[in-house]
Amino acid sequence: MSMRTAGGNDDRSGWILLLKNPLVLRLACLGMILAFWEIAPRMGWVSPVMLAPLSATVISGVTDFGVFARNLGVTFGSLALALLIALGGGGAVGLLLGSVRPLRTTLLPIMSSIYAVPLVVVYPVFTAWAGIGVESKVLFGGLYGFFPMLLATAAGVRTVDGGYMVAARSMGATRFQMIRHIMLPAALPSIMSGVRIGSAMTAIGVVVAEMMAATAGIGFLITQNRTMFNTAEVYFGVFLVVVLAGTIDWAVSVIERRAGSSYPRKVRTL
Amino acid sequence: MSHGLASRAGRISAQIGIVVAIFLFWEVAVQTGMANARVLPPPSLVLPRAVAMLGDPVVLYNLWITSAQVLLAFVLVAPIGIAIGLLLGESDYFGRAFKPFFFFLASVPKSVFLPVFILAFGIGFTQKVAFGMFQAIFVLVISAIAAAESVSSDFLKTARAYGASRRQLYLDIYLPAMLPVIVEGLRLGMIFNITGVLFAEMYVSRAGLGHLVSTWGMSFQMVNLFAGILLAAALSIAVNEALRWYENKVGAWRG
Amino acid sequence: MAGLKMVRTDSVAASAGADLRAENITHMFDTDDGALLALKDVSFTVEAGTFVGLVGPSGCGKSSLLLMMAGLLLPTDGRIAVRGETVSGPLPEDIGVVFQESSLLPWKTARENVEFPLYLRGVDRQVREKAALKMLDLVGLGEFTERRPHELSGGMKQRVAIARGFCQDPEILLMDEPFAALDEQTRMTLGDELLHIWDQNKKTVVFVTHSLTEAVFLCDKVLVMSARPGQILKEIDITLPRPRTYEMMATETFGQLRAEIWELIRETQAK
Repeated sequence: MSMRTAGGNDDRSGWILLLKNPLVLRLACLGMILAFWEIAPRMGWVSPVMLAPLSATVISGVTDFGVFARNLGVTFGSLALALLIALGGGGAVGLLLGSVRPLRTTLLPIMSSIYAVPLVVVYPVFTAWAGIGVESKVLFGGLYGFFPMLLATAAGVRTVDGGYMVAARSMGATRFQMIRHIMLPAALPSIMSGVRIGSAMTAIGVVVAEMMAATAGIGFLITQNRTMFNTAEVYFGVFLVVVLAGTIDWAVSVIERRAGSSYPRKVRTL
Repeated sequence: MSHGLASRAGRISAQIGIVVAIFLFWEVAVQTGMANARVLPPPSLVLPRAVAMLGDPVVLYNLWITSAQVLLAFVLVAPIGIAIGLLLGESDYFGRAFKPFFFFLASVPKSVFLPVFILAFGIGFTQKVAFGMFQAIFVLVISAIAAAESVSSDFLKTARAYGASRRQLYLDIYLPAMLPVIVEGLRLGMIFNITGVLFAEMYVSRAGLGHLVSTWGMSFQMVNLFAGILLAAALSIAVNEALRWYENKVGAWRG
Repeated sequence: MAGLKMVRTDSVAASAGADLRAENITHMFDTDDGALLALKDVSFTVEAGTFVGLVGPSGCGKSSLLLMMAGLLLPTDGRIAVRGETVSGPLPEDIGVVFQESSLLPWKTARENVEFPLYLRGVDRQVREKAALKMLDLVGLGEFTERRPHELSGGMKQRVAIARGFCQDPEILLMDEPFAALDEQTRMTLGDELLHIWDQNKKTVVFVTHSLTEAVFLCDKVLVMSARPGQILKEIDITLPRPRTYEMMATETFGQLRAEIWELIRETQAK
């Protein structure tokens, strides 16, 4: 790393030296994107309908804070219920499919094929059945997170080292004790990564449902503002969802670290 | 060997059995009145309708629109995503500068950006293609990074010790070593791409399979709705399994 | 490719091998904590047609030295010479290399792996296929030529790597802990087979290993290296007669040679 000497002028070689540090390049690009975001719409380079200046976006968020907070609250409520379905249901079915061999070999491949289906097309069924209120988006969000949770849990249970099971059995462990003391702890890292991906997918599902048909929630707010061409509000809403997803990811990874502190660190996989 | 094949055949027939059983249960549930046929039409109505749709010019036209959007997005995004990923994976400098950036973006929910694409590109063909590309690009970049990093230095050392030229290094070491991971990325990117295009069509559009499904849902045409969902699901599963087959073929050596 | 030598496919025919010298090799690595002296003034000669072992504590620079001989790493100072000529890059026609098992290309079959050096040089398909099959036969893998590495055991994989090293009939064979990943029994068997092949063509072999027993059993001469910075502590002539047999391991000479090497390494490890 090369530091510029104090008092140096902004001469060419100084900048080039500075750019040799990849971190500087990253920050420079980030700065340029933010600057473009602010300047481009103001200078008329892009239409203000397409992109609202950064400052306008922030200001819209501050002035309409009450509206954003109320709708975010609605989304949180639906999300909590949807997580119950996704993580609880997906986890339970995953445990069952992963630990019972005949179920595993026949049903798991079907489940991973279903995973490839764009579940978004099923959403009209939910609104047809349950209307456009809370029920349909809870069910849809739950469905979105159900399969990732199921697959990760099943994979975790499946990879439990047979040696542990043999050892536990030789010490006279009952079936329940084996699940409680061997299978669950050993599968925990994989289950937690299922919780992380499943939670993220559930949140996306809830917001997507709100965007397509709903009467409240952050997704609804984004769509409403889009139809009214309130570009700044759309951008701020999108920003809030990104923050929401980031917060969930962070919270799960904190739990993950606590719960998994006794395990050797594993490299995160996709 | 024959034992393995026999058990595999057994497994596949068990799977077919399960799928058939689900459809049978669905049919029986509706026929016995356990489920309301108005909200859950029986497969005896849905399946023939799905087949009939494949001969319906309106459905075929919309299916063609969707396929064209998906394919164009895929053809455009695949080289871009792979090139970015390989650059970040191979160059220490650019990797350190931008990898965290892409890892972060890959974890961001992308569906929520759809309204932004409408503001930018309107509600037509271009917007669907752009949004499909946006959905797919990050997983492509990340798997190309993983692919570049998965090339073992042992292989390169061996090839160089035996005098491999630069061209031979690329064609005989880098390419075969990276291909399975890249194809896996293409498969995941394709799933995200299809989901993105269908979602964009359901959200706001004038054509496409997603548009049809959404319209049928809003007008309570349940038989059409279920038939459309079956079509979308079957097509996606077919695309996914085809790419998975290729992925397993080029990655058979991974054991 | 200028100067492409005719490839001798009858690998088993006697070729005397070439001599190899290390002259005053000093090597520094750049690390985050500054330059690290890895090798210090290392000189030795490997006579043509001899089997020479390189042993020393972990991190003493044996593997770096081997990479230099293969032309994959240039020393900071000094030179490697083959037949008196400085090595400045890979010499695939003169030098074969056998790395640990992970160097087999997993997407190629055993035969394709063995052919690989010949393929890189653009040798005719039939010619290289014949050469590969012959070598695989020699290492006892005649029935497994179309298997991929993941379908082979550790010992079989290493046999493939050895066949690959010999297949192009190089003058010099460099082996970097080729048996390190194998269990004791497989190791012994493979060592014995390696000697059997070597007896037929008497290549010049440099063999890096951690196993002292292996070093004494296989080699004409063992170079013992010190802890970092690596230096040659002693060249020990292995006076056991050839062909070597397992019974020799129980002899007093064998034990004394092994003990002498161990004593040198123990002292240098203790500093």
